[in-house]
Amino acid sequence: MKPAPFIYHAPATLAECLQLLAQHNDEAAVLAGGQSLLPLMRFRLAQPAHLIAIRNIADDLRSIRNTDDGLAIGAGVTYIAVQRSAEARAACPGLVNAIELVAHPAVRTRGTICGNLCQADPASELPAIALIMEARFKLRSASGERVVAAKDYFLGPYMTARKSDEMLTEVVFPRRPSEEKVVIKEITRLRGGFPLAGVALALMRGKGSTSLSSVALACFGVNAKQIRVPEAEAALVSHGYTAAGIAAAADAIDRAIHPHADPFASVEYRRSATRTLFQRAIKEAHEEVSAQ
Amino acid sequence: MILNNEFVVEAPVERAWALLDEVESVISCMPGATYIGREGGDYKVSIKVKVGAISANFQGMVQFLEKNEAARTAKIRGTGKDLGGKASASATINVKFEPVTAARTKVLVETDLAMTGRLAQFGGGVIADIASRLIEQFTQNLHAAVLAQAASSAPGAAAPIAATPDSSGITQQEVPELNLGPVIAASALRAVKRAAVPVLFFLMGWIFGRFF
Repeated sequence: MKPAPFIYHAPATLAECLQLLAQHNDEAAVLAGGQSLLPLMRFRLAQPAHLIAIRNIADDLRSIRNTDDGLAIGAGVTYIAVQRSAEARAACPGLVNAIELVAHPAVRTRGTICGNLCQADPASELPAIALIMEARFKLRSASGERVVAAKDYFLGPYMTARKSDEMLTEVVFPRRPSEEKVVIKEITRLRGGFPLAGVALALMRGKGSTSLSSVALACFGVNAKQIRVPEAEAALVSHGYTAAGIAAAADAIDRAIHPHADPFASVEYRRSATRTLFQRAIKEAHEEVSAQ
Repeated sequence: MILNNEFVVEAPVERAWALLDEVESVISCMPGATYIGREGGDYKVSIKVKVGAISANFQGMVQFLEKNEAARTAKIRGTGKDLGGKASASATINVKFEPVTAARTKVLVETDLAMTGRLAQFGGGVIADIASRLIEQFTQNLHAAVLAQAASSAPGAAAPIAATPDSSGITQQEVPELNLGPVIAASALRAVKRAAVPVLFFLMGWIFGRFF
């Protein structure tokens, strides 16, 4: 299908872009890689009257920078740019691993990290990574700038804290301790598709052989939005890497998620898959941390 | 899918029940909804919902199927179609007013929602989440409306908010994540523009047929 008529803007500066957004507000959509927005427009689910492309906006949106805050990724940065960036791989290996699960190389060449985080698909991998890494979202409008923490950013399915006159100009992944291991596991029907269920886990070992000093855990694809599961994290920290700890955490996850049924997977399947994925993820994370 | 909501309001059951006589006020409690007009027993409504990049503008009808004053229950049916053909939705809403004490009423709202079309592809989980957000907001607004109603009909009420028994006393709360409301004017304008061409052709045809 062809998209509904729209007016295309390609401003040369960020200020102009934000001005256009302020002017057209709800009727405008920001176009970065267009890998989610354009299909939505072709299905006529999204019908923005104004499309504001950021492609002509000079470099600062395309940069991956190592700042004091952490790894800052601009609005125009594609998945592939992050995959190829040595800085990103060093500062945030978990993010790079997660990107490899997002769609296919063709999509990753055009699609952007910030675009993904604006779309906020409930089955997407990156919001889960942003949650466990406690990423910060820089939202700019013509009238100012604010920074939103990941836990306050994702509000619901396809819903974020971004207001319609704001643009997500940058996402910052804070620097993580080098001994932390991030594992992301998912089940998809086809490689590159949206997962039926998924678990992302960041883990640091403590002093004892089974103790864990910190655990961050998020589920995706099994709720109306990506969720952290603090009860599971607490159970793992208090019990450590033991059968009891893992069972308690798995039960906590089971209570926290509300999977849906569709023709591809039932609620029970998604619950069982989430449990299994969690068990695999924690095993892998713990083994790799032990090997270091 | 069935969605259940309930709330307790600080008003006697008779006063809470009286609100149902003001359908316009009830409709204006729905986030993004505009009351268009009345056709017999049907109330014409437009509801604009925007979720992320996805937007839908439902036009439809609301009617009372049952209104049982003795049992304090009402059955409301709503049907709607998106203007862009993205989806059609129908909902049966059962409302029940239960007195808790002499001055408190519990309102139970059960919504049975069905949706078909391209929007329904998003799956039950997502639709249910959005619908329950809308209903939650609706019940909050309805709660405020019932309170305003109760205050206005209370004897000797002197508060400024109580001075307006009409729908203006109802607080329409902003739902930031759903971006509801402000776009309606713009889309209405576009709809008028779109309608202008066929209307013009029709007029031309009529004039030609009439006079030549």
